[in-house]
Amino acid sequence: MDRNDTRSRAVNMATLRAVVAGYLVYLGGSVIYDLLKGRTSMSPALAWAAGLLFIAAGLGYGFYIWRRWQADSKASDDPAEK
Amino acid sequence: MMTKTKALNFVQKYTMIIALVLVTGFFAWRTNGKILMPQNITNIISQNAYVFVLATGMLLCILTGGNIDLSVGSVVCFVGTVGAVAMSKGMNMWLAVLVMLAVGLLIGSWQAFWIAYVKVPPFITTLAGMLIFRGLSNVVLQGKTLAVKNEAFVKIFGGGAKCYVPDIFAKEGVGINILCLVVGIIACALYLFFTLRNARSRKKAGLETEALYVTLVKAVVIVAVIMFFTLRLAQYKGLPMALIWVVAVVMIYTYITSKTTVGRYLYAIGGNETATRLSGIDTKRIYFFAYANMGLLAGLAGILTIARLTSAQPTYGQNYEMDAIGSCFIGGASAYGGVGTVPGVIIGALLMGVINIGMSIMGVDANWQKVVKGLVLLAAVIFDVVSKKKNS
Repeated sequence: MDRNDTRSRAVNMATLRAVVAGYLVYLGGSVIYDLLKGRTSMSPALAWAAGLLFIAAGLGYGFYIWRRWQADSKASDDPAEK
Repeated sequence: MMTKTKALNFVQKYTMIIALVLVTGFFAWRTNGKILMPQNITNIISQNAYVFVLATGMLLCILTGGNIDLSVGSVVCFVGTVGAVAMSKGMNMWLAVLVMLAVGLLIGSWQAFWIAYVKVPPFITTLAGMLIFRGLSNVVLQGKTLAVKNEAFVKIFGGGAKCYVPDIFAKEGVGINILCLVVGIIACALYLFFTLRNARSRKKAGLETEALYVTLVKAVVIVAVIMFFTLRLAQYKGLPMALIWVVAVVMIYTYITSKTTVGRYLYAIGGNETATRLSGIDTKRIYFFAYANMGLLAGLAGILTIARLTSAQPTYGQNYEMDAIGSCFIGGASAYGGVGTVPGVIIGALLMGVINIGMSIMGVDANWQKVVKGLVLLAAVIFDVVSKKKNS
């Protein structure tokens, strides 16, 4: 695989993961938003726990994606890899 | 030891089917069998028709190397808007359908051009498309709902109470849809014919074939499943029109991905793009095909959506891209590309559909549904992180 290929695959993987991370944050946010608007029959403690868990997981995954993206970029720029 | 390995292989090969059976069994238990009632089976098909169609198109994009199309939801909305406006101005239904498909294909080709020939990353191109076509839908509809009043259109493409294939064999006093049963029997016969023909040709060519009893057991199970669902549908109103469109799309794309050169090229690009290009294959054309085709299928999904909801609204199609992408990954498509099948993706979409309908029947709060979706995603994220760590 050439360098452009490796880089474009790294971009694709990072995008896909970012979409998932964003969706997790959205799900968590919407659970909490519905709770605050009084549009849910879930217990408040559970809604807060689930919402915060998803937001934290989404952000954590976002950080992980960023780290991986940096590592993959470094690898594709490394002369030894070329 | 051998038996253990075989059992493990079996579980690995049929993980999603086993999951689908388990999830369906769980909801059948929790809803006292309501989920398997004829009307609910029809609902699973009609309400998820757009997911089946979009996921099939998304698979072709993902096969090229984990590329996705973020604009499908907005394209569905825009195509639906164009169709609803055209029909409200008195355009002939079939002409409106052609216009909607053409608009979908045009949008797909526009995005495909930037992706394939100008090398703009797919997520940037399709993210722009997502915003552009959502905005255009809003502009055209001015934030309002436009009703689709063409009854013939709704009957042919919709999923409502009157959207069933008419029973040409109907007899008075017979409370079952005979056409539906006939179609089920023909489908079983065709399946058996092609399975046996395939096994024979593989044997003739000296290729590895599975044991005869395995083929037979598989055939018996699949025929039983087809007949069970056919009988269920026949007990209600017969074949929903949405099922006809979904089956047509699934059959065409299963054929394209498994039997045609363009299908092989999609897998080849996903496996190793450079090697594919160096073997003389025009990879740009394959990328163009994948994204233009996604536009066409988004057009069809737009038609199915406005026909089922009998209106067009600027909010239609929101998160459809997530449903399609989710179905692909649940159904076994690889984020690295080159892996995945149309039947696998359909099983993934069906699994999501069963979970949604099952929870609705149980009367579970919409937020619980979000929590379950979130947990499934979280499991996928944990699997991704852990498997990466193991590999490195």
